[in-house]
Amino acid sequence: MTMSNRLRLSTILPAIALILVSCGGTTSGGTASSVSAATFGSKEPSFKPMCTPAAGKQFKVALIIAQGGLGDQSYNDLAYSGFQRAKTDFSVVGRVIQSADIVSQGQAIVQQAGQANFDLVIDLEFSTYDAVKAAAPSFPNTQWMTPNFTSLAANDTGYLFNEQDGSYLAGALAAQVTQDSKVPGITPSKVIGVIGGVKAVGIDKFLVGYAQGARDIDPSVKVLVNYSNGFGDPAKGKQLADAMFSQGANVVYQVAGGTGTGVIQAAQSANKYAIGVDSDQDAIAPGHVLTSMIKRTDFAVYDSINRLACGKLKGGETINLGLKEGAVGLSQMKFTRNAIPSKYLDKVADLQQKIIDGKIKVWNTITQGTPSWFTS
Amino acid sequence: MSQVTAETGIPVAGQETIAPSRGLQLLRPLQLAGPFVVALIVGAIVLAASGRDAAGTYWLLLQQSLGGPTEIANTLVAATPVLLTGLATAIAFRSGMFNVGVEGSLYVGAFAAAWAGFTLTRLPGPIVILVAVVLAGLAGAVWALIPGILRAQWRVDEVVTTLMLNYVAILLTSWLVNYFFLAPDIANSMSPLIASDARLAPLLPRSQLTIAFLLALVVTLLYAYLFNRATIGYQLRMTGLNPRFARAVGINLGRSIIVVFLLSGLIGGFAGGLQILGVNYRFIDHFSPGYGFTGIAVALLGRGHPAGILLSALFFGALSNGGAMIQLFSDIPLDLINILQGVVMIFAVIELSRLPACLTRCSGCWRPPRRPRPPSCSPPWVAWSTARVASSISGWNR
Amino acid sequence: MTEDSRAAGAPNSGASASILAPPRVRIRGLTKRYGGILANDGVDLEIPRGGIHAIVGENGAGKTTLMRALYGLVEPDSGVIELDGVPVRIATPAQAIARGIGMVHQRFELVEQLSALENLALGDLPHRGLMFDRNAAVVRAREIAAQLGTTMDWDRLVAHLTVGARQRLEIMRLLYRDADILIFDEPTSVLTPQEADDLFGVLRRMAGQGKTIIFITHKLREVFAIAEQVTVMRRGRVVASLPTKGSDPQRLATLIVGEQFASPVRATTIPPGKPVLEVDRLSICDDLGNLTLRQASFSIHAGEIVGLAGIEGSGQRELVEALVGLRRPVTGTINLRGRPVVTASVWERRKRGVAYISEDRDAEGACLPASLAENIFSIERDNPTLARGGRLNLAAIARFARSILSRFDVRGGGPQSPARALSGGNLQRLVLGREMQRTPTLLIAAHPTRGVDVRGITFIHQQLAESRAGGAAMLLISEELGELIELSDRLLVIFEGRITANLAAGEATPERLGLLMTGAA
Repeated sequence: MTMSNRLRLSTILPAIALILVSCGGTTSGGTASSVSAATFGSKEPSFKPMCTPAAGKQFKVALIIAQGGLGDQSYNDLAYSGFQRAKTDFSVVGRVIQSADIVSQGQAIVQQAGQANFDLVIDLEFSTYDAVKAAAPSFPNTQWMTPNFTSLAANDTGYLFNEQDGSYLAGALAAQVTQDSKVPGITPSKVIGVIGGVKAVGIDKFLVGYAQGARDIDPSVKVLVNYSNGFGDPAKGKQLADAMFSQGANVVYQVAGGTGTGVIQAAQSANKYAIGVDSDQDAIAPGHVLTSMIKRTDFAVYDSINRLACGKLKGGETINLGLKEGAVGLSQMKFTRNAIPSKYLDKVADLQQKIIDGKIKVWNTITQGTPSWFTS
Repeated sequence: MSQVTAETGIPVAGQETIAPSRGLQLLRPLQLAGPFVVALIVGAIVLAASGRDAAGTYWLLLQQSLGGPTEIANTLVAATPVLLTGLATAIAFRSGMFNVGVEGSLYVGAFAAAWAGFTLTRLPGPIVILVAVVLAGLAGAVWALIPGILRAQWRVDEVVTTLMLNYVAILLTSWLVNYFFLAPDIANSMSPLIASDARLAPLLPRSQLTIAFLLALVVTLLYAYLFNRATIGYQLRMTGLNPRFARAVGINLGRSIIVVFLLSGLIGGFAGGLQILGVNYRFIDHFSPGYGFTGIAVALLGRGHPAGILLSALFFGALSNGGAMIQLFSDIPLDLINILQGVVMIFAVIELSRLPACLTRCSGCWRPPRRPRPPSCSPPWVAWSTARVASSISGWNR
Repeated sequence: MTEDSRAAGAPNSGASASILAPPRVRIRGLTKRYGGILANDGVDLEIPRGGIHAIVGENGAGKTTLMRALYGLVEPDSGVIELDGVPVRIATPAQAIARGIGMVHQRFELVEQLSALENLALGDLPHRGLMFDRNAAVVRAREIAAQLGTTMDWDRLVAHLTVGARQRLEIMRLLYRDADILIFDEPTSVLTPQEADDLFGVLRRMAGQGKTIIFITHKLREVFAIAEQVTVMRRGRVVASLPTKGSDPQRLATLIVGEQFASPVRATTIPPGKPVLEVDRLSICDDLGNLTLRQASFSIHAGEIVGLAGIEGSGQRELVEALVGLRRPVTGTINLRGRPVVTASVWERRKRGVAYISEDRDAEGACLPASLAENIFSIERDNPTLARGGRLNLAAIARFARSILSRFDVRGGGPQSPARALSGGNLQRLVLGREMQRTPTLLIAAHPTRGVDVRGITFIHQQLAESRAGGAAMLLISEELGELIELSDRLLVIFEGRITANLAAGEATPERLGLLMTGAA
């Protein structure tokens, strides 16, 4: 129980804790971000103070941990590491709030955090966002930060990740690798696969980006799409992935949280490739996870505190983090890099630069809906 | 004497029992407070060992759980579900049924209430609330009826069935919400929000203290009435104290079992439904941190007595609420609160009162092995340890 | 009578043991007291080497306690145990086994999940280094089986063995441990007749090999079938020890039940009223599915006390439970005042006037943790002055309870005291009062005076007689034959699940009953 529960609730929840905000309340594009050394897979986001923090001023920051708690080796732990990093870089009194009953106590915690005069409250728990929306206006002196969500109030900053961009790169890589018999385990074909947790725009954002990346490499590559209808069912994931491998796919991308561990298992036993999501999952089955599409929640947390300390956290805006900031992207491919011909990696690096430069626009289902060419 | 009290619940005041020795009388409040005192001492040792100020931490804990109207409201909100699950569990325990499946009733009840709340959006709020609460109770009762019938008809051990049905309920609701009732455009495993006028109105602004707590108090009173004044409650109590006797005087055990499970499930369902209507406003997959299992501890700690159950529910509510809030003001980790809770539970169940008796019995001359006690008296730790195992499996106190 | 039997059965008089050698087992003045009950009261016993020695007596006569003392399971309060003339102290079964004493209990002590061979060797595993030397065990097992002249499927799990095979395995375990005094506690009670015959063969063979067999039973047929010597115990004392040759079942039965004080044959001239209870061809299974009551038919009339005599475990308990509604019979009918009640619930029968005094007062007759008032109220749930509309009238219940307590002179607590606080006799008065105050039409009284003091017994007898005079029909079960003969208008005897005799009050004597109860007549 613990396992599936944790896998489900912590790994995937944040990854896809997206809501459709079609009304364009988004301010697009990150305001800041400096570096753009666009070598694919090696880019680290920039954990650097954007100003010299004023001495003497201490900031009170609270971090509300999501369901699953610390120790999940995923979303919460990643966010927490960004929080710790910010605490060393800035003069911050940090409080971490955990509760086994965060779902029910969320509203009370949000209220009490407001009462307690924090400068910034970072809330990782999606189910409390209604409460944040209701409470934030009553505490104008407190800034709020809600990752994976658009701004909820004039003093709340939303952070969204351009997962479609990273997924695009994953698709581009997969479409190349699947056709090359020199790569270990590949039976050349023009088929790749992707498994989503549920059919929802927040998930299709990944899937469409992936399909678009493959299409741009070779329009004749077929992308198999399926949904596991749940995030905690590795057996289902294995079953779906096995089906795709038997249909000729060499690479399957999982966007299904705990279900995805089954996809990775299937790749290992079929001697094929999976693509991980959210965190660096390459080490789960070394050599059989082609790459992972990483999302750097830690950077979002760090960035919000960075802005707070430098007086740049204004609230009322939604910050999009993407390839440019290094907040999404492919993993280092520690176990697979040497087996993949470098021309493919170069191609992916090239595509990454093009996205950063705005030469390629990756489809965003959140704002654009589902493209006509995408069939699931 | 203490044994009698432990089994029948705290006796009604003013009864003409043979007076216990003076020493025992003086010991009684001490025994009841024992678990808490020991827990606080152990907690203090842990705090001190980790280099923290124990007194200051306890003071902060007290402030954050009872220090003002908002704090008290939050404590009452946190106490509401465990008060109800505690009562649901206690009804079964006092009737000799080790129903450890209140968690399951809570889940199906919560789902039923949420379903009513997001489906019947055209009806006026109060009617939706009424329908949702009734549905929640019915769902919980029907769910508990399964092990009830298995037990009554085929003597299938209810500890096993109720424990396992918890997981069935959790996974069933998970399946329902993920496959059929997912909130549109949200990839998280949660249902749509219930209609806004189906939410229970807060009694105190900016809190979630609603009539749910008052309803829980009413259920507490009904519980007291059931076991002290009602004929059916008398029958259930006799069934719990000595099923062979109950059968011989013509109490229908099968019917008692069914009634017990229905009532227990009904209250468990209410607990889930009220939590949705008053706090969560939607069904969230795996939302309960183990209210049903905490209810077992509440029932045992309260010794089956209504006031005891109320007090221990408030205690757990205060600890849960205070434990979360205290983190806003100090760097006390949640684990410490979990330690406090765990120690209280352990010592609640050990029953300090029996310890000296056991020691004197075990020394002295050898005696023939004691006859196994009748099933009615099977020790509470059976249920407790089962519950403990269950909780560690489900990870509610992670 | 006692002196007479002592004289007749002077210890060891007929045994073939050498006068020179001391007896294999000698017990002198062994006393064991449980609370206020003397289980063994200065018991003297001598058992010569070799042969089969039976110990007989009613339940509770002290047979098992005596043997448990010999086996180290019971520590006697006083007395001496000698083996071959040497006083020994046996404090644990391990010490008993070390001295060659083994005991086969009624419940086997085998590990069901292990094979027969593993059970045999358990406790004294042959080994090579750290490994179980299976071959050595097999060799030894074959030897023992050959010695007994039986076979055993050594690799089969005990769980899959028949009861008879399990018992043989228990015996082999004793031989494996080199026991030469083997105690059997009612070994045939769990066996089929065929298995019992097999067992007797094994016992005779062992006796022929010089083992000393002690055989506890209450079946006289078995005594005469295999034992050379028999010791009779009654109420914790040895009343006789005599050779079976030259004795007869009738004599033994008299010794077992004791000389009952001559009871004046009562003028049972009350004309029997209408039949209240009619039982026709009733067969009942016990919890294990054994048919314990077979085709019982009898009736009880208004104003009549029918006594049921029998060795405990002959089917009385199942009969009582079927009459009260606690056990569903397999076949047969029960009519109460002409109406069939065989499917009626306990409560329906109680409402039709059935009252029940349970033989197990603490576990079934009363609810010890509950208060006296709650105990009394238990069968008054339909009394509108005490409970109306599902609501208890606590004050009325307390008043009602108080009236019962004073009417039946229950001492030791008030209505709110826990029943646990009462002594056995007072608790029985409470139970009696609770059942009597509804003026039952049929009273089922199982061992109503068990564990009650003399004053209480008289009171209970009076109450039963009054109830009879008031027209109640009554089934009385007791292990006290005197009580049965004194109170009953008619006596039924039950033996191995069958009602074997139906005697009028005048026909019943303790001797005759004793023979009938033990299946000797």
